[in-house]
Amino acid sequence: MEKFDAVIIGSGAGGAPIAYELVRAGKSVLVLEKGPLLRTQDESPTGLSDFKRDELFGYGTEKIIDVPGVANRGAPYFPSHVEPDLNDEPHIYAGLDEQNPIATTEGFTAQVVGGGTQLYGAVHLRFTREDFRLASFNQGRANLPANRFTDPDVSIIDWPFTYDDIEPYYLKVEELVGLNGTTQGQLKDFKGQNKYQTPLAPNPISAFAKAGMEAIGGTTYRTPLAVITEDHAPSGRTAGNPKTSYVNRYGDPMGYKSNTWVALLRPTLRDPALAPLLTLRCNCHVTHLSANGATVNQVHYRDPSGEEQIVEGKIVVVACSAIESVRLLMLSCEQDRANFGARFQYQQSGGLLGRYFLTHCFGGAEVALLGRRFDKSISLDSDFATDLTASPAFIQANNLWAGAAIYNNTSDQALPLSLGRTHGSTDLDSLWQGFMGDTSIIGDGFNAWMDRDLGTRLSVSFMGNQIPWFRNHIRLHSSTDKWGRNNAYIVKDWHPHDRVLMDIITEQCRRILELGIPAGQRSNIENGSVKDQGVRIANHILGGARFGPNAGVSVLDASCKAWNFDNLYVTDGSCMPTSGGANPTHTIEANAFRVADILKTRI
Amino acid sequence: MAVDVLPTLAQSVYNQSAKHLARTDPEARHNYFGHLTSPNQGRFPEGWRFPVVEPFFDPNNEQAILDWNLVTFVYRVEDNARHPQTVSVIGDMDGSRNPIALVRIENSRYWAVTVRLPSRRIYDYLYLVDNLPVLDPVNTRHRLAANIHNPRPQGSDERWSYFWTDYCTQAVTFELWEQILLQRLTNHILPFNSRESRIFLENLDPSKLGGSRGRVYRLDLSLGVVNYIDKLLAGPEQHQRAGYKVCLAQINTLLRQRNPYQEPRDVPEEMYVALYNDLAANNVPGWNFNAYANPSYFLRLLRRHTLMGAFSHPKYGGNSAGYGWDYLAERFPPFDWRQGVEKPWGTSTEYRG
Repeated sequence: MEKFDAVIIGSGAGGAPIAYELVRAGKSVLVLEKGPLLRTQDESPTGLSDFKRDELFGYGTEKIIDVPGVANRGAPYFPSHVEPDLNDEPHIYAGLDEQNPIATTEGFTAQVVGGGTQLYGAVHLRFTREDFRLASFNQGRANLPANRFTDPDVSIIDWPFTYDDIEPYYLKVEELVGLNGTTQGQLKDFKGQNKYQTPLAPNPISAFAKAGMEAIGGTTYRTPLAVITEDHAPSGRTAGNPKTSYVNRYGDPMGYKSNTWVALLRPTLRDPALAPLLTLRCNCHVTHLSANGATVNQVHYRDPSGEEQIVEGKIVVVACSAIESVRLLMLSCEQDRANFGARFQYQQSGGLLGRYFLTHCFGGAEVALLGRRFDKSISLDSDFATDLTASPAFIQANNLWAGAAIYNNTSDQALPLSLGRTHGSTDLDSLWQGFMGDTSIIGDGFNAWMDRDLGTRLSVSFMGNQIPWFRNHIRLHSSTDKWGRNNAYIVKDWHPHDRVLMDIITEQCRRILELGIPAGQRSNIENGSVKDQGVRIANHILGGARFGPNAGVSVLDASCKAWNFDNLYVTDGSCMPTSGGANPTHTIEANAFRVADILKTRI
Repeated sequence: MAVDVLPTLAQSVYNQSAKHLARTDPEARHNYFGHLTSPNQGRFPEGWRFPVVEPFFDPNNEQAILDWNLVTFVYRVEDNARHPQTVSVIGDMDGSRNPIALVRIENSRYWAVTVRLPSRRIYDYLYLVDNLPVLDPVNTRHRLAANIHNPRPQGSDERWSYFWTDYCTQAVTFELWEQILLQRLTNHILPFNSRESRIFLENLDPSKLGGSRGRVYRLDLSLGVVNYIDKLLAGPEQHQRAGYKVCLAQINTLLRQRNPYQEPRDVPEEMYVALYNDLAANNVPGWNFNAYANPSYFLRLLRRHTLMGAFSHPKYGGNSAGYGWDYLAERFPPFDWRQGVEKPWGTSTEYRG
């Protein structure tokens, strides 16, 4: 049987940094990736990228959900070209009452080499110092309404390391992955070092968001984005023009957007000294792990033909995004309840695998500028951000348990089909419905609609910490995927305090637009959050296998190793005990680099 | 002329096939509640993606991306089937009608071949598996095509699998009368023929228009939206085809009832306005609700398809000559879609398509 020093499942933010580091430490690594290897233009044998600047790639044509037993059977959905087919492999979602479960596209990032880092908007924020120590931060606070934290199902724990511990790894990501941004104005301590490339000129529409952020008392900075603006030596990439608005949900045919393929895995495979140590097998679907005692000794997968294969790794790293990682571990428990299952206390009292599933509290405000039009098709995903609502002072003053980052969006609704898809729709499951039903958009009314909305809409969003709640969990659903494996079942809703937090930060977003754009130059401000949509995940898929100080409160130890196993690690967002007040990719990558340093000493 | 056979790359075949074709579940999960009822169909998602049609790039010929496609034929041997000795594809791709051999990809279950074919065309084909002709078991598109050499015994099934290459304008779903009805309906939805648009277009100063600009004058011509829908309903949204057919037949009947003196194609605009409003209200006097229960759903669907057809990439058959995008740029400045898009549609000096 083939043996590697490390077998890593997933090639995205949680897996690729570990492969990158272990290979450079002389270890043999196999990366198994479920999705295809979609190539950039310069590496493609045809001279054309597998990714396209084509609106039907971000959201495709209509497909129909046909999963037995779900409430939305027969409903349409419009997946991107690298999302799974929902009838082959759905996520099933239900609220806490578990009534009327639905199949949903929520919670999939992308099944492709690079994972979610291929399709993300590339906002790459560090977490704040407090994001890592929210249990300590809230201990003994008098100004929190008691009922919000007496709920025995709420369990807030500090991360097993501090901001200062992970700071060098943030810096490493900023340098190796390739980010642009500014440090000045950020609440985070950069310790005098700055690895950001210089941001490009912002889209002029963003000036209103900047003015608004400053008007509410915030300091602004250029939103850190994983997009290279200059030649990037660590990955051998040459800079070009990335401002096309084919950003969020589009892979970048030119490779300017920094994902784990172009930034970490590809440079490794291109280095003749390193390439022999790294094996990348894409289109390979890991079905389960098996263990001999405390040692995971076999990784079972289906190759591109669908044939069963088995490999061995001295260590095994699971990093295929939180829902799928938890599902893979649970399916492995099902295969071997006596050993594998018992070690995770699977379906036993006190078992925490799948518990404290997290995403982000998110929402924002949006407005149309009157009499002004901008070309939003010349933009990246965001230009300005503020940490005002992430500061301890703001959190204390507003009786919140945690904070949130706010940034403006520039690439949304920049192109004609995206305007139609998102007109009046609030989530991925209701795309197109607004436009289809608004029969007044016709002829002159069509012109009026475009006049109102094309290149005029400005929005600001927030990403806030979500309360870790035992009731929010992942487990296996009775429906099965195309391999006959049980699908993931996500049961979740917002904790009452999440709703309070969302209301307060939403109001700040509304004020940003109110104060940033003179009255008379804007339409009515629309604002809101996902507080009434339990299904929403924002593609920030976190928790479910959190790390912590002991097996009584966590699934993993501080090194991301599963308690009761010798060689099993989980390094994607599922290890996170709190979701942080910002988009998670930067922290997932930094933590993976941190874990890699530990693993070098263990192989 | 013989077809150009290009290197078939294992990585590309796996990338294009594994998600769709590799599976153990025998159920027809993808038959859209019985809309796709042919043998074997419904086992694989997005069967219309096969054979795989991709753009073709020639560094020495900017026009090549419009004129050619790369087409990869993929045949996957079923899990419980023995491996064949030979697999080839036969059809009207090749002027000589000779079989084109597929090669087995490494030790996998996939056989494949990549060829270069002219764009703008429909092709009929069959696989020959150990010399036995079979329809493509994955592609959901097949039709009677008795006019080409049939390797099967006389009198047996004359259906052929088919596909089309980019920019194809030959109809595969609609009859001419259906296309004309659809054109009138979609024209009514789109902005180009509205009063306001006509005034805007008439007042454009042609001297200020350069390059591709100025083409919006031709917006009275079809934008290709009907052609886009024609392809959409034969491919990705095949499950909506039957409903369209029923609704267009009803609309044809209704317009004849409402105006017995003119062909539906010639009736005044007001009749289409009234029909649109009736459909929007889901209150269509004379509609046969037994045949199609929810006419407003048809209108909603048509609205989405019309927007997609007018403004998606021209290779899908709509947005003819990029006129839809041109209109937006000229009517709603400073919107400039060109800078990020490949030549010849856009002006990007980096991205090739």
